[in-house]
Amino acid sequence: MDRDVFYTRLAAVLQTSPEEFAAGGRRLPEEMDSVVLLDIMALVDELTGVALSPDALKKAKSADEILELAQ
Amino acid sequence: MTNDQLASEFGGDWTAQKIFEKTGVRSRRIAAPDETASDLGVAAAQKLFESGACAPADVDYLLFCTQSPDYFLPASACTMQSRLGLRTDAGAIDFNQGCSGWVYGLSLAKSLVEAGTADKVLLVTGETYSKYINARDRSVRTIFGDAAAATLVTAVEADHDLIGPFIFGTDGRGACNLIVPTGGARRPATTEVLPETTDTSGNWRSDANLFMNGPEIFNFTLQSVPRAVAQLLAKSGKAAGDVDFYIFHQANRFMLERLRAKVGVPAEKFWNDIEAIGNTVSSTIPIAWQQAREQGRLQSGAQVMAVGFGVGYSWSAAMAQVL
Repeated sequence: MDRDVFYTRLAAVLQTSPEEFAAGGRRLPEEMDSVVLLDIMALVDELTGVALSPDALKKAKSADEILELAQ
Repeated sequence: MTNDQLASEFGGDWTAQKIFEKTGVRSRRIAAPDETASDLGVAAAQKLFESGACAPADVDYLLFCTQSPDYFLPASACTMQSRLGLRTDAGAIDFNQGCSGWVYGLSLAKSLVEAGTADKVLLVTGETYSKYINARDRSVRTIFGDAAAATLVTAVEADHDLIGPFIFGTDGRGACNLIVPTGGARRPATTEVLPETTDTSGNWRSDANLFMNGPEIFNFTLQSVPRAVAQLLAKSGKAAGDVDFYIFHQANRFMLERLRAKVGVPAEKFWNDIEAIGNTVSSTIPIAWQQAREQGRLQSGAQVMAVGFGVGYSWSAAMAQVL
């Protein structure tokens, strides 16, 4: 999986630019509503084939932690 | 109920276009306050009779799938028997199942016919989730619509099975993720007004309302549906390419598109359209089947895979050939 594609598309889900997302350490918001969670779950499933548990996803603090969960 | 109507009620950043993009629904049908699932079911069955498929007197057995019964007792199917003019020696039962209900009903109907218990089985699915939905719960109000469908299952001469095989699945650990918590014997209905609470997405509901944990349902679906498809292909001895058309429960466009890609079905062999009616629970598959036929996407002899999944958790899948 191309990490840059994941970062870019995750930034779009979070309605920020890839540059701003990177500058902020690719951290996730403290609270994500169900619409955002669904979008991230679909993105991870599309790029990695892994169906992430929403509870696990809610505990992730950054884009890289999401990728660790998906491994 | 259109997206424009909903958007004007919800306010904020919930535009009609945003609702469509997130759900694939532009409008949904809502039953009148005094109109129940059995009323919709009777209307659907009457349309079937008017089509010439059979007469009321020909029906040996009525199966009514609903989670919105008229009463705790009697069964809605019993009142429908008299309203439809079915014979008094016809069987009539309700069964409580949601999005997997039509496939379940198809298997029950086929079994009744094969066992010689009935020659003609009328399978009716009907639901009015709108009566359970809180007006301020955008997560479900944008998706669900009320509807019913009627299907006639009867024996025909053929050199091979036209319906089946089937696979089923159940995981009751997910019951809490799509539920109306009160109103049954576990937590009886009360005359008190139950408190409404809001979730992190700003949706309001009480325990008398439908609750759907969308992310958990999505996670269940991503795991169970591809597995069900593979199991059914293996059981039927077919490859994915042998299936001419796939009709999954029409949950929402977003979920279906992910499932289609995950299962690897070409878009032209896959139904994904709830634009005009929303998610109608147990009726999505028969409605999609009829719409696909009307659009010429289901030809006689086509091999169809139908997959239902949702509340329970419950899932089911079947092969069926178009007559």
